[in-house]
Amino acid sequence: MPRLAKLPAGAPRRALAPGAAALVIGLVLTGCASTSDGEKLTVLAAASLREPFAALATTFEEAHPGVDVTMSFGGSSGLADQVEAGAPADVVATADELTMARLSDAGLVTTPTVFATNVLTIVVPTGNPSGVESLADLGRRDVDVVLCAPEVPCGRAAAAVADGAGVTPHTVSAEPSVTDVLAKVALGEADAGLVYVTDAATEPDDVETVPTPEAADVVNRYPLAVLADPPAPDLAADWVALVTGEEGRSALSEAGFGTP
Amino acid sequence: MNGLPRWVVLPATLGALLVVLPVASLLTRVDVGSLWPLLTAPGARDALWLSLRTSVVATVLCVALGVPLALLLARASFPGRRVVRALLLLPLVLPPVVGGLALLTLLGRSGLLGGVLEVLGMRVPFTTAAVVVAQAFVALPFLVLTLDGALRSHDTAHEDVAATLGARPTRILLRVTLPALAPALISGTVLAFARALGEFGATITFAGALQGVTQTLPLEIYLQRSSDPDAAVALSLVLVVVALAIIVAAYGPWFPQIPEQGAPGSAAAGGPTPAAGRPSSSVGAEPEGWPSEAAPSAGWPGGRPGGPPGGGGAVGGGAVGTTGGGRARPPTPLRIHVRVPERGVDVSVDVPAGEVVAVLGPNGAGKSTLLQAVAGLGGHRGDVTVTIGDRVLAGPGVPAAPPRDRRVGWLGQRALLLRHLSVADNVAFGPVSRGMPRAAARALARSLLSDVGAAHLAGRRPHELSGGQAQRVAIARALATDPDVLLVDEPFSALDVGAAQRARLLLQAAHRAAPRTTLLVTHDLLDVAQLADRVIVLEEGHVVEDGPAGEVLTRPRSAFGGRFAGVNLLAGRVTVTAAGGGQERAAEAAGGSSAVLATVLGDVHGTTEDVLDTDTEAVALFEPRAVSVHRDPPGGSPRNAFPVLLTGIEPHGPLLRMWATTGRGHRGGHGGEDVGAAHPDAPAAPEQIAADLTPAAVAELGAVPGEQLWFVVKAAEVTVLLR
Repeated sequence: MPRLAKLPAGAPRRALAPGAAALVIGLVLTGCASTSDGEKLTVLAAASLREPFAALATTFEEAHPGVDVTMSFGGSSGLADQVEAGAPADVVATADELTMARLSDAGLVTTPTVFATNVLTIVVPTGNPSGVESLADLGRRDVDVVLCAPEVPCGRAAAAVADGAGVTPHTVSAEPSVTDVLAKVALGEADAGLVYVTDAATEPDDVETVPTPEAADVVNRYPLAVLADPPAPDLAADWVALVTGEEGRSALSEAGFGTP
Repeated sequence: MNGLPRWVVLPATLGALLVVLPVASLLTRVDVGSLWPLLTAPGARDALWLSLRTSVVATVLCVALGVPLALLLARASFPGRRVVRALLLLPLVLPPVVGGLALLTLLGRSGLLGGVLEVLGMRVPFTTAAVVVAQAFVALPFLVLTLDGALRSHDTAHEDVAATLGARPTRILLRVTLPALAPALISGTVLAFARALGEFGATITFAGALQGVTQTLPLEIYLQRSSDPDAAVALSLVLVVVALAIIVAAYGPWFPQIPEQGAPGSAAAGGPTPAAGRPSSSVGAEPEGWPSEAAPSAGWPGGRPGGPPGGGGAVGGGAVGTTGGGRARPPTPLRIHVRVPERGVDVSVDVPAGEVVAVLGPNGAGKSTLLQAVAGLGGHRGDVTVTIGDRVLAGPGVPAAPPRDRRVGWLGQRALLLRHLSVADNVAFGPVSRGMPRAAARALARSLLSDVGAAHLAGRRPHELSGGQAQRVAIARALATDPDVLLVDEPFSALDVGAAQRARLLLQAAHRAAPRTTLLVTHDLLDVAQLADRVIVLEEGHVVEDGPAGEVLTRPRSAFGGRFAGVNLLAGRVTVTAAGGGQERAAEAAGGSSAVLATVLGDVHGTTEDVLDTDTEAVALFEPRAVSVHRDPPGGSPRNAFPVLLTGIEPHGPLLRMWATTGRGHRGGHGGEDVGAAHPDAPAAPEQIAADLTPAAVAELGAVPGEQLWFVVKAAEVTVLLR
């Protein structure tokens, strides 16, 4: 802080300390966000959307010079909590319709649009050490299976897939998120897991997928909605248009998503 | 308000609110009606039960591993200790998820150890054991750091004394160290348990989540939050209540309160490392006076107390007590040689059997080092040879005997009684440590306590004693093991005058009843006068004076000895002996020959009974009251006249003492130091001399510090001694 050096000799330096502290605290609290005087779009999105949405954000910023797109990725229900708590966001995209229904029932978002679909697949560690060939193999005692917990969307989907096929998986852990399932398979701690095809695509080196035709019946639908009173309503509408439009579909299917 | 500034209330309140408000607002979200079904749902019940089980096991694991770890970190010195301490902080800093990953890379299927375990048919991840490992991983640092901090703020004085009393290391750990650490141990255990109970990230990563197996309460809460936020809140409430119940239970009224007296860390004084510090007295309701049943005159019956094993079959309870007159073993001589070249210490001391040798000297002269060397305490560099009787305890080619095998007793400035033991058990601690049956040790303790006039205190706790009472108990405890050598380090300096004198007389009585070879470090003239047979003076790691107590007190040879004895002492070289003229007549009148000494104050004329050769080193001694003070140099008669600078005036009994220097080495005022017993360890300044005058004479002179004066002393009043 070179300014301090310009103070006349004998200036009460002690008096500076509270001021400096206040300045620092102020900078921290405002997040130093005053760098751009342009507009800002804030998007809350399910963690599985990270890659396509990041690409789309770049596209969006190119099409809207001076606009800054801020992304916050997380678990769908955590995002819903944030919206309920009044997070200053414009758009929210969740990984399941149930969570979105929670928000729209409360009048916190405008009419949701389903923009992507996702299905589960069996993943096994590279090399498939336990020889998992089908969904039925998940019921083998010698195959340690990790799934999402039934409380979270991917767990509900997994249970539906297994029930539909009449298989009782030999579950050793019911994880709170699909990321945890994928990590345990990728590390080789589990012999098999059920994750979304989009997640499986993010770990091409450590996991292999096993064809899971039974999962095609349980389609997970991703809704997108503008918040009830967004700070940037026009940009929010533009974002929805981008995601549901041609560029959006292309980016999503590149990441493994299906489109409705 | 406890002397705290008022403004601390504001941040303190904010801090408390930061923690309390969110938890309180959580409670407002709880729907009481739906609480019961939520809490009794199988998932919640399983999770709570699993959490409690695993947290308890993890905490036990933390204590079993963490206490030894903290002890090593705080008390042992080994290479890389600081690195280990820093590494142990890691689980505090690491996101728990990373901790879980780290555990996986070690114990997972493809991990370093996990692969081996897998071959052996063992699997850690996804088991309840994995939950415990994850919890212990994150909780252990809390316990270790709490204990380590507490250990490092305790000195080892109590442990040292217990070692001299004959306790083995394990006994010291269990009976001395851990009881003193009880508050920190409880705090650390509670912290570790709380951390284990709330553990989430490492558990989910390493152990996974399966109802009843690995799905602890925090995991259950996290999962419920996505589907049923109300259930999550209700379960959080359970976690809060359980945590609160544990904290309240641990810090309840039975939480060990630290008594004020001898509080560890309050004063690292009086043990093997001397420093300032004064046990608070007037704790007990007992007046400091002698109980009628044990007046000092009647106090110490003949004979030494029953001894420990090795003392001639004294283990049996039969002969215990102080009345078995013929049981005393003869006193044994003590020989010490300590040489630490890098600190310039080279001290040899021989203490004949049964003698009390007082060790004097300025702070840092090596007095306590000497005592520690005899006791075998403190890590000593350099060469130490210690022989008691015919037992070589340390020496060239002889491994140093541990303190418990040296048969020495330690009595320091602090009584260092063990807080958690009664007075009687404190006295019995040594004999029991040395293998005496408990009942016999109790009987011996009672007998010794009655000898020191403390029989009525037997059932009390140390914090209920006054300083004088505690020190009397400490005397009984030091004698209970019948040591060959008693090491006494400023024993009464923390007591008020009356209590000090009573304790001193006790020690004297005990010594008369059964002479015991004793090294006594002191700064107190009374200790020397009443207890010591011989005095040695240490300065800068060397013995500068060694003689009978009476000789050193009246005719000191060293600067420190002179200041201790309260006489002016000027060191110099003999220039003239048996000189003619007035000096000779004066010398004859005084009954000796005369001598002239060249000193920092110029030539000093005096008388001597020693045979002095020219150019030998000698000291000139004269009493402050023999000095007269003048504004102008007096003429004529055979007098020494020193031009001096007055530095201070202070009361000295009914007189006033004027301090002066030659100006060389002037320290800018004398600051009220007393040449006698109070502060003899001020930096050596031999050119400082004192004159005692009546207040009337001082008033008449009207001198103030900073003035040039003449200090005058007759040659007949100056004694010249060979150095």
